[in-house]
Amino acid sequence: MAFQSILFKDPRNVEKQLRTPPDFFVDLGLNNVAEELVKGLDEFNIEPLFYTPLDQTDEIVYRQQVFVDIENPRLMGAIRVFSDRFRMVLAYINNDRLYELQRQGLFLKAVNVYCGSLRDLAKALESGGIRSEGLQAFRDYLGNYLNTSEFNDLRTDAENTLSKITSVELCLTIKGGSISVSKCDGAVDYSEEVERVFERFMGSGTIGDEGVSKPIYIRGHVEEVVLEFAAKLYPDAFRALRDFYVKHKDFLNQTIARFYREIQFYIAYLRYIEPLKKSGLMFCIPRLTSNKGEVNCRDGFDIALASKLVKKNSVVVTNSFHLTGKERIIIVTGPNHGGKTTFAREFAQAHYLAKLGVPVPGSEATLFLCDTIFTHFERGEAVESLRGKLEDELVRIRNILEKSTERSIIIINEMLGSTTVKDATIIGRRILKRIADKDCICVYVTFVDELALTEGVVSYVSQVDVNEPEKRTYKVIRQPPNGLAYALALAKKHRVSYQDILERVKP
Amino acid sequence: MMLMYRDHSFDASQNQPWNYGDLVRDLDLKPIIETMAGGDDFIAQVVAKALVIGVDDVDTILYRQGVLEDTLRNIDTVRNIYAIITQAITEGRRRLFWIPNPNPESVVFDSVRTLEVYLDTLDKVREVFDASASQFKSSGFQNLIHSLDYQFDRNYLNSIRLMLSSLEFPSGVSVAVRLGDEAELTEFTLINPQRRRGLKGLLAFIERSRYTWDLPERDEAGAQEMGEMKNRGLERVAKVLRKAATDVLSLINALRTELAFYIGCANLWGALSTLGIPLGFPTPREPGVDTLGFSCLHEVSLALRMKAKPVCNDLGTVKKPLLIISGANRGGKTVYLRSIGQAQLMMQCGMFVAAEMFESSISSGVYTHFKREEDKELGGGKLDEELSRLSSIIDHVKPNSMVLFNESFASTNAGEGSELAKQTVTALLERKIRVLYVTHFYEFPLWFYENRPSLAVFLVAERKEDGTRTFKVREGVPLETSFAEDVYSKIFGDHTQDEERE
Repeated sequence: MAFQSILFKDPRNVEKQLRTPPDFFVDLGLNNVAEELVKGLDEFNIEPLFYTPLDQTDEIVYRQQVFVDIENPRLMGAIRVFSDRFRMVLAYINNDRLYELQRQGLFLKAVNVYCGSLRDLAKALESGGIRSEGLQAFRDYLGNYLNTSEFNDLRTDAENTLSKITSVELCLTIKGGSISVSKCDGAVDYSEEVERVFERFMGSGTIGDEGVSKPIYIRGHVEEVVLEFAAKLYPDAFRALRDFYVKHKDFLNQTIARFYREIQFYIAYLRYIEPLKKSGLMFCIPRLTSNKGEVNCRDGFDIALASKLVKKNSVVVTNSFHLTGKERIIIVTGPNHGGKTTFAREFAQAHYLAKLGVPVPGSEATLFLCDTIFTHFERGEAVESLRGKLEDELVRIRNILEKSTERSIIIINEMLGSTTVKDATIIGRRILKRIADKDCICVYVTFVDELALTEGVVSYVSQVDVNEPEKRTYKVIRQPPNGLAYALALAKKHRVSYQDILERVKP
Repeated sequence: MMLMYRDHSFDASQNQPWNYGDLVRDLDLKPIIETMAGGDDFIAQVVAKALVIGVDDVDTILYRQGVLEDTLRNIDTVRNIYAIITQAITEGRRRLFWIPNPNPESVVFDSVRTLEVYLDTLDKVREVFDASASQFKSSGFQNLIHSLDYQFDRNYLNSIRLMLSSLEFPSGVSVAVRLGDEAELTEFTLINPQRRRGLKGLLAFIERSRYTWDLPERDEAGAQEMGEMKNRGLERVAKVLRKAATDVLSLINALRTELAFYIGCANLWGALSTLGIPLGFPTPREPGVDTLGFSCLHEVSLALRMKAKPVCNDLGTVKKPLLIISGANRGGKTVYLRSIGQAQLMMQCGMFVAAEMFESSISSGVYTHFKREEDKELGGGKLDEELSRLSSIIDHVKPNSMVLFNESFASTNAGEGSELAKQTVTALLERKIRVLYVTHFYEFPLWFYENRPSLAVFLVAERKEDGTRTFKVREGVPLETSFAEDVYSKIFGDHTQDEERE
């Protein structure tokens, strides 16, 4: 089948895209990710792709393969360059603010950029060691197109016209409100002469741009006037320009234009994770499994939080998680602000991103191909009474339990805060029992250490540095709950002891 | 402008050292800076930096001493030149339009006008120097006079003036352009407006096909576009002229800055000699030997504040890295420490000192750590604050630096304070850092007296048999009592010594 889409193996799936984000988007911080990802890409309407997880493994793999291919920085660079140039081409041919001769000139440029960008892209695809089904099909399509006589005519016409236009030279004299135009031979650069004379007392250092604003290039009617005069002085060149414009008006190939639009999804995602990778964080292509007992992710992190932290040059802490055998439920306990919620988000995000076919946080990951994710986070809106709050929470968890299947993932964050610890323990245990009966995967963040002692659950604990209890490590580690007291005071450390001074002052 | 360094100018834009505030406060530099400035804000700014950013080589110090001697001898001429320059800078500023982010055309216009002023000034300065060249004997002034003669001879200045008038473009701005790959006007190159063409060239010029278009009235967009075309042609030359104007100005500024420093020194010289204080040029010694010696050294700020000649101190030349000054409170220890710190800074910026004789090894930085009892608003404990200041010093000191401690760690008890002092000083000495330490502790000086006698000189604030203080500091072994009781009893008039002891 001829190439059609780089996003969908079966192009009919394009129709199934959702217009609104899933319910858990905000709880998981994915709204921030999506917002930033699509920044400046309004024209491509990429959001629905992030709202629509793929359910079939072969569709997921179709995208994953493309990501593997463009991990090759040479190929990725080439695709980015292509995308930038194609964007320019579209901007050029849609420019309606120019006068006639200017528009013809810009059209010529558009075609030249177009031809160059396709040829460069084809070259990069040929030598890129491409393995993915999608890019292979596109490569073949593009190769064929470049060999058509339609394309070759376009290219040679464009080159010939260009060389005629760029050999035009003019001399302008501006005095008061008048401008005169003539041919110009053997002009001497006066700036150089001035520079030579002042050289003697100019200090070292280059002549910089500061203090002189950059002249603005205005393509207005004065330039059109100059071009009209130029057309009288150089009639040949301008006749060629007009003929080219008329002959090649509809030069754009629609399949390639679609590839350009769709590849933005990949570019946008890689652009988003690039600063994270630069800061030392890792991403990987996850393996998708239908076996809950082999879920595993190393060195993962909350992608939304990491993106914020990296911008502030803060350190991002990574965390690993895994489930083996019959393990389904993770209970996360530990000090407040210790990274518990972040850990839960990390877990759910990884599973969602995997279904989009994109690389996920972590050095390696095996993730469960779930049907959907449910989140139960504390609600912002005010509920009048503690009783009302508990009621609301329990209604929500009941709804989740009703809708979930054995292929669902449930994330519970700080539930039952409105009751006593004793009640929270009892009710929490009951809910855990129900989830266990469903056999679905669950991450349960709680202040109740006892829940982590429930039989059959896995306990993860957010860590604190014993020497510096004020400092949060944000590490969440698989271990029994510890219930340490953390309110240790710190002695001020000035590093001015005898030994410190010897170390700090270099001899 | 080579009056402060043999091969480059003093950089007045450099930052104050990080501990500027500490130095000014601890060594009481404010009266010195104010006297030097003599009401001139610019001089105040310059000396506030020059005084604390010393040089660390003997040669440059002697070079500056020579220039300062010349200045003191020709003070009227130097003040005259300083006045000419100051006026030119004001005039130059007046001629600027001060548009933020100006376009090339206005940069060309402004630069031409200011260059005219600055070049005239250099012409004048050169003339004044030429008239009294024989009076200036230091290599600093000789270098300056030579470089003015060489760089700005009259012929050269005239050719520049000619060029400046052509840059007013009386016959319009002419540029050569090419068409780019979208048929746009590009590669704007300015053409000489005064270019002479031979008769043949002139004929070709006249015969050449030429089309002219006049801007319609009220075509503002067109006027702007045309203006920008001009700007594109003038961009390069604007940058050249701007750099030329900036460089000439910074040349003039550099000269003004360096003259300001020497005029400041002369002002201080005048004020102190009026008080009858002995002044002289110090002898800088190579770093590393820890030489220190002086006779009749004065605390300059104290003299300026009192408007009188205070007690002075002597120290027979020693070569030891540690000076511990102990003894009576209010016995003149702080004044003594300050006078050395001031003299060290004055010597290292090339100035005279307020002493009959002063010699000292050059330091790679002077740091002060004085107790700050007046700081009430500081959060945290006092010791905490002291240690944090010490830590900042540790961040910056290097071998051959000099650290002046004044009652440091007095915020804790004598035992702990002594231990902190001992650790700090021992480590600094191991790193070849000179330490001057004023203390009322007993254990700390005693430890050095017993364990490291070869490294330290011990001084005490003098006290006569009858208990009166002379405010003199003499060599002597550490004393046990700090005479706080004396001070107390003087103020309160009783003898509750036992209660006073904690």
